[in-house]
Amino acid sequence: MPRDSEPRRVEIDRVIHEPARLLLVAHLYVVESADYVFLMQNTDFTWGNLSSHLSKLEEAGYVEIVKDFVGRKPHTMVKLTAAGRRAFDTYRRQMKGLLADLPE
Amino acid sequence: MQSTLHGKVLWRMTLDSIRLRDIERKSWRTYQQDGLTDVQFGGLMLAAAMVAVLDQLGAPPWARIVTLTVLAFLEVAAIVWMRRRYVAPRLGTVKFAPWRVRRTRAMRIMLAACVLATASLVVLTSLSKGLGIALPGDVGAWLIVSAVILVPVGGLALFLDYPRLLLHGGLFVVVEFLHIVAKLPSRFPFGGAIAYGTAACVSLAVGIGVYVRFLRVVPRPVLAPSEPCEEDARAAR
Repeated sequence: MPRDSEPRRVEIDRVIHEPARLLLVAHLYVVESADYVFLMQNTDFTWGNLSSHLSKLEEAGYVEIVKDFVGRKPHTMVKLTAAGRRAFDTYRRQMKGLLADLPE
Repeated sequence: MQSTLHGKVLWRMTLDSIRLRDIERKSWRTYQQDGLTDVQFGGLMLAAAMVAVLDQLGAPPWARIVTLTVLAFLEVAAIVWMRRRYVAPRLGTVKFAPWRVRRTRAMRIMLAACVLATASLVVLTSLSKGLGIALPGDVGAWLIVSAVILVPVGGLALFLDYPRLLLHGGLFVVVEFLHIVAKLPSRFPFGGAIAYGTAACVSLAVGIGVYVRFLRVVPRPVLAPSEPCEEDARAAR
């Protein structure tokens, strides 16, 4: 059992903690789903950078990537999964608590 | 201690840049404010100016109604094409949150109600003699027309988070005043057309200016699904 003097340990989700991915998840959190162009415009990421981060998030089960065709053109929509929303909520709560605890 | 403070400052900066409400609002406003809605208002007033010209030339009422309907249809088709061709590839596709979708649905219901109210007013006016209904005076008629214009425009401005629409609504109301109360069409030849045309020019100038700026500021993104570069791969790790 930890003593009162011992610092509290908080498990921060490292997948979301990375600033670029945090920005991506925040953008996906406020909408139902979005495509690559929307995410590129709103985050200023390159296609390669976006793909890398989305792959990480997909591996963690936080986003769902749906590929289909609009006419003859391939179109990819990205959606935050329920697990992703939960993880982001938890992360926000933890970070708020952590920052509030730190000395000024 | 120093690294703790550094971390705190860094994370405060990151969290400050991620304000969820601002992110959502910015995304929504970007989709509404490409300038084409202003162009649409200007186009509507231009169509009204052309109808006023036909009116002055003594065209029959059906010709005016057909002209207005055809012009309005062509304008909507042109706006939809421009959005698909030039705006959508720049902004991408997004499905907004359910509460935004609900608000949009409520806005459409309100607009449909306004169209019904306008149609009822037109029918009542045309049947007023037969039914023995006393029509309001010029100022009363202008106030009713103003309400019919400003209620939907105000609703749109609120729902779309687009206060500039009130400028176009205000212009419309001023032109209607010149038309109904100041009797401009009977005082000057083509007075009504000139009033509508001037208002249309203002709305079109605003809309085209915003649209051109949008096309310049928001370039088409480079969509090259290539292998991520080393820097990107490092960032992802």
